[in-house]
Amino acid sequence: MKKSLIGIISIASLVFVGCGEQETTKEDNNEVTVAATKLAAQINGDAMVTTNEIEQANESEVLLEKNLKATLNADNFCYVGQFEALNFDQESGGMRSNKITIQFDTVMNDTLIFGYSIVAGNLRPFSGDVFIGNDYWEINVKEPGDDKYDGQFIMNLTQSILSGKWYANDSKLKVSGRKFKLESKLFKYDSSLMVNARWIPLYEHGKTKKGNILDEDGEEYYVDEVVETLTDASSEINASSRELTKEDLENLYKTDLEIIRNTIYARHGYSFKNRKIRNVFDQYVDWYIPFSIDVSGELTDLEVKNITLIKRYEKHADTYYDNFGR
Amino acid sequence: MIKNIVYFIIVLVYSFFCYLLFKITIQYIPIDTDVAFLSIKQDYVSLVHYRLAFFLHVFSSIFVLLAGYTQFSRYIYTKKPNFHRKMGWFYVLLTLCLAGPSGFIIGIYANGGLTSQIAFCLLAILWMFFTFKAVQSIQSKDIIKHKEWMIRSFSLALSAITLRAWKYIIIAVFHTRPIDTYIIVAWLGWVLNLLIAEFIIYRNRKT
Repeated sequence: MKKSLIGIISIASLVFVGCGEQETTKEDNNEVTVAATKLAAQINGDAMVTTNEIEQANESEVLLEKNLKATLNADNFCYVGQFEALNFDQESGGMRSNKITIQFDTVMNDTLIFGYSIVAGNLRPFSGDVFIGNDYWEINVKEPGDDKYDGQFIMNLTQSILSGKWYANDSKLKVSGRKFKLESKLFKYDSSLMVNARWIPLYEHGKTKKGNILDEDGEEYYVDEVVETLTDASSEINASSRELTKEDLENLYKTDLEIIRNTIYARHGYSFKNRKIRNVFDQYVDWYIPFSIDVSGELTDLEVKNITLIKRYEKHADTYYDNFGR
Repeated sequence: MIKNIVYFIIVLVYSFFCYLLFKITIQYIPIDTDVAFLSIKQDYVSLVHYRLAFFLHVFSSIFVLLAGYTQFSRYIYTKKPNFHRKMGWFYVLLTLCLAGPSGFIIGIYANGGLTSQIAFCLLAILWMFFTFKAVQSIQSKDIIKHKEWMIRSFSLALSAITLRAWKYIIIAVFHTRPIDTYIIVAWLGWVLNLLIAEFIIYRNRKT
């Protein structure tokens, strides 16, 4: 409550006191105030704010700074998108693209900024300089440097888009530079979210033959590929919303079971270390936000129960599906 | 000469499958209610009669296959009839007292619902019935009928091998879902064996 009050007062005072800098009419001021107030209240409340609403609230250039600072207070406000390799060597074995989440925690003296990134199962903090301009922030931050994958972010924040590049400290890494264009989102656990199995091609990295895949740009890239069977079961069976039975699971393929189980973790925002699963959720599940590197404490009792049962059938399928036996 | 080679190959192939079944059996040593097949029968392992029937079936069935080596050898049942009888009773007791009844009980709890449950229970009943008729016929000295009933009985005993072989083939070729496959092999695994047995009996009668 206190935060939204401060937010409202500071926004309202800026609008009505700083008249000289405004080119907007009094009507526009009111609209923007209402929108900004709504944003502040919603960030600190429980309601889901859509990216559109955030964009509308951010329409005023002058109010951008206040809104962005307000977002720092929200634990679930973050920027999410693809972390794409600048130069990708197909044979190298590095990941061409992962989903990344960047969160800013604090801004000090309007010059220092602190935050962290979550990508591929890793959470790395960063700190550095921020330049707060009229309608944008320029951010130049470094990760601690004690991890071999640490590097530097040089990015730009305008409206609700955070874009820029990242460069590894170690230029000899398989992927030493990446680019990104992230959208602002509010992370919220929703037990009803489902994947769409039809959109998901599966591969097991490192197994048997090499195959060609065309990416969205129509460019070929190579991946060790075994296509596994995924059926609509993984779009239909929700392991977070009801207790699953033997009848639900006994006739499913191993990959169905695997996806149903990992969707539980994905709903909680788990950032997957497992490459195959991570690729599925990073690339083919729109609602997925990597938000945490450990969600074991967040799982509901129902989910824990279902996980145990699914794992049992997964293990059985792994060993016995295609062997000589019952 | 050719006949000997064919017999030798049959014995070799049969031994290979017996070995595979032996490997399956020893998975259950030491006794554990959460291993292999039982890992997906956890809703029944708490039942005493299920546990008993399951382990009786697993540990008795493997010996049933021994009859395949000894009982169909002309040399043995003509030249060593006492041995044939001893092994014969061994097979009959295993079937009628252990592997058969226990098979029926665990058949009631079969995966795949009523369709497979009926398949396994019918298999158990027929197997025991054919074995009983085989005893009956030899005790009234009807060797021909004894052979016929034993051909039927053993064709069903062989379902231990054929069910699993079909499952392997169907999965490898059609990549079907696990329980769907199970329901198919619950029937395919023994009905075809019996049809072949009937054909053999029919052909034998003609000569």
